[in-house]
Amino acid sequence: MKQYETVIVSPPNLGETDLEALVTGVQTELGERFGGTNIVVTRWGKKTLAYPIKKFTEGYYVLYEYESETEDCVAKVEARLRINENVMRYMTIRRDEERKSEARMKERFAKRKKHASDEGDSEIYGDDFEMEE
Amino acid sequence: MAFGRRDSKDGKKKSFYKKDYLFKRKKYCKFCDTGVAFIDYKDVKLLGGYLRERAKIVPRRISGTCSIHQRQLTTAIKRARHLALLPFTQD
Repeated sequence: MKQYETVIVSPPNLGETDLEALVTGVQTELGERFGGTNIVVTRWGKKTLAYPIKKFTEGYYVLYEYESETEDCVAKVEARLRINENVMRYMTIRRDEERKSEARMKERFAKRKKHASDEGDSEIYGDDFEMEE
Repeated sequence: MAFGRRDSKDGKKKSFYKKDYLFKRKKYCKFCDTGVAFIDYKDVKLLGGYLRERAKIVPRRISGTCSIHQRQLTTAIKRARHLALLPFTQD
């Protein structure tokens, strides 16, 4: 099972019904049409953009977190987003790979901490010395 | 703390001898220090601190970030830029 995260940015001038249609539309497409599971939708709401896109200075951000067996799902959803006029930007990332590296880093930190406490370096260098990375 | 400027051994205040004058505070990776295992592109506030005035990424030799974290930071900033959470340039 692969975990993905997709963020879409839509224009700020959409009506409430249009926006609702877009957000739920993408969700149903993800879930029912292309076989994504465990979909979590987070709306970040309107945010000011760091640079104008299509002459808009604001955008409406929505985050979808989901799982899928195949990479097919992502390709299909992105193809749909590409032709959708109400989506200014979209980005999908693999999250499970990152979770793996996150775990590896945590392990590393734990090891380092253990190492530092085992050594007892305060005896060698004096009290005011701390290990620097 | 080990990073601060140290007074001389006999407890006198800082002198302007050559040795003292050239002393530089050791740089360290702030992410390693606080134990950040993953740098997220959504954390715009954090990432923004690693951009220069012109919105360029602060190099490792300046910020002191370790290579692993600098790599994570770079991808995170680039992702955030794509979504217009962070600027590419600023004038």
